[in-house]
Amino acid sequence: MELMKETDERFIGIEKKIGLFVIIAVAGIITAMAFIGIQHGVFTPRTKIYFIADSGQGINEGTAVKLSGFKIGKVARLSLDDVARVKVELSINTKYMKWIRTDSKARLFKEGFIGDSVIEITPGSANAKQVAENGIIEFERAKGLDKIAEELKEEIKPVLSDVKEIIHYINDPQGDVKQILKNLHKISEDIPETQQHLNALLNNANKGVNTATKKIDSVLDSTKQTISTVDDLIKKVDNDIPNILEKTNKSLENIQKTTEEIKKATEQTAPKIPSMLKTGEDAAEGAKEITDSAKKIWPIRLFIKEPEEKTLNVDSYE
Amino acid sequence: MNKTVRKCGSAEVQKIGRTAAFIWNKSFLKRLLLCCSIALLLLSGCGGYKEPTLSDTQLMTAELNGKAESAFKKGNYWRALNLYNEALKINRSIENIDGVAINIINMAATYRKLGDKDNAHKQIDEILNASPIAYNPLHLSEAAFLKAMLYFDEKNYDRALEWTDKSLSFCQRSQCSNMGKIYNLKGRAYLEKGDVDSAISYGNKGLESNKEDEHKTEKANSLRLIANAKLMKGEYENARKFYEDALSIDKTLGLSRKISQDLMGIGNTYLRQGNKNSALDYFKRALSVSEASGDKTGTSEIKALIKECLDTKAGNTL
Repeated sequence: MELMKETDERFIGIEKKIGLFVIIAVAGIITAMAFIGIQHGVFTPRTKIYFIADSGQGINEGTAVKLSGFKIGKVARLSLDDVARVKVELSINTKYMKWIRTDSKARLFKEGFIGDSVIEITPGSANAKQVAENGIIEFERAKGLDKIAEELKEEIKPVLSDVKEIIHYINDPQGDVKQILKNLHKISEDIPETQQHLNALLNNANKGVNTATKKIDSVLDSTKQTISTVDDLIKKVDNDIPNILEKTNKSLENIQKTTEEIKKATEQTAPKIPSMLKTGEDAAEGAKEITDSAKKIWPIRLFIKEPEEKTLNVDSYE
Repeated sequence: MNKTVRKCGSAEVQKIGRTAAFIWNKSFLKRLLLCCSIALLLLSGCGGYKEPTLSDTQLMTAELNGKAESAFKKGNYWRALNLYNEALKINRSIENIDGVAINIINMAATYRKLGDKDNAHKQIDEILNASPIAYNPLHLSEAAFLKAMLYFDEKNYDRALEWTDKSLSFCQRSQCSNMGKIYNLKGRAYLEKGDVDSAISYGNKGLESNKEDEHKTEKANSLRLIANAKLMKGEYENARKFYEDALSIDKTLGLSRKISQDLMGIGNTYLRQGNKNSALDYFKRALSVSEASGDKTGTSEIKALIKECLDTKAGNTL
């Protein structure tokens, strides 16, 4: 059955009205698309520049390019050159090109532990020329925590080796230190004996000057021998001490160097830690907020029971 | 010139309008458009943001309570205890009496699981002892039930019966749905005291109260209680029937420990009847369930029973 009749007064000019309506709708859609395009920078003039990296690890198409922490572009394309190096094409918002100079450097680093990789371009010096379209800038990869740890490991290795050597040197039963201690122990054991000799000598002093003289001579000989042994030992210790001291000094130097490296690494890393934690916290909060909001939306909310406090169901047979 | 343009434009608009009218006149498309519009209207009516019904503090305590319950179910009792304690503190800070009662009961139940009966009693007494705070009779009933369970664990069956009566009284006042499990506990206490008839009577009362689907666990407990009483009475066939019914429910609920108990019960009926082969079959099934669920105490008990059964069997053969 016909619902509308062309003769009906209400439908006079209906075709024109519908046509206008469709045109307005289409115009609205085009405007919205243009607006979205502007927001996404589709119409923003861009300049292509390049850098060459040994590896494309951590660099992806779409990776943000920042200058002084401000997003100025993105990685447009990655390709391999003739010598298998990675040629990275950066698409930079042309209005920011004035800060990118021929001595500017591109650095790849991560924004926190869980952050995205970002390419940071350092502003060049004022007297350097501005990089032209298709120009190439230098690239360097920021040290990652694993790299720093690896370097520290390499620094600590010789120190540990030295310490091990010293301990081995001290512990060696045939080594100088052990021998010195052994000889000192022997000397200390000989002292009571010498004292006994002296006592015997004094007791027998009355028996005759000759006998006493002879005995004194013998004691003197023994004492002379002991003194000579001690003298030898002292000389030996004198000879060995500089070697030990030298080794100890070397180890101390290594330890000091390592400590400085650790301090340096800590100084580099420490300021980033709060921001890393903050980023992680923000991300977690954001995710929670999104989940919480999603839970409140129909029809998801129909499947989620509102939380309530309840007692544990204690079974009568437990 | 302008007039020509306007005329031309008007003709184009008319053409678009005619096309739209043509599409509109196609009944299928018309219906489809109508359906889509109605569906969109319905969706927009149902959708949208829903205002939260709980305050942030209430949500926080509910979340803590939920996390604690989850930890309790996983057997992580210390974590559960800490979370319940946190929830309790917050509830106390806003004087949420129901929340306080719920978390105290849960803490007591957790202390019971940890084997710390003194602390469990101490917690429960805070609710049950005279206090200026008027607790909900429902929570008082649950607290009294837990108190009875604690006395039952201590084999103090008279005190357990006393507290089940109090729990029943509070439950009747609050028209709670826990009557079935209280009857079951009462029946168990009578059974332990050797009063088989009272145990069967309370088992039947429990069975009557646990008809609803939400009380399936307690329904199986009632059936097992009656079966245990009938086994003691020497009504083996009858007892087996009740055990089998309990087993069927416990299997649907996936309660390993209860399944093992039911299988042991059936095995015991055969053993008492002198059918050691069938008894052994059921004991072995119970052992398999117990071992797979990691119930060490249950496993060692069943193993001892199997050994005893095998020894007597070997003795009889000799």
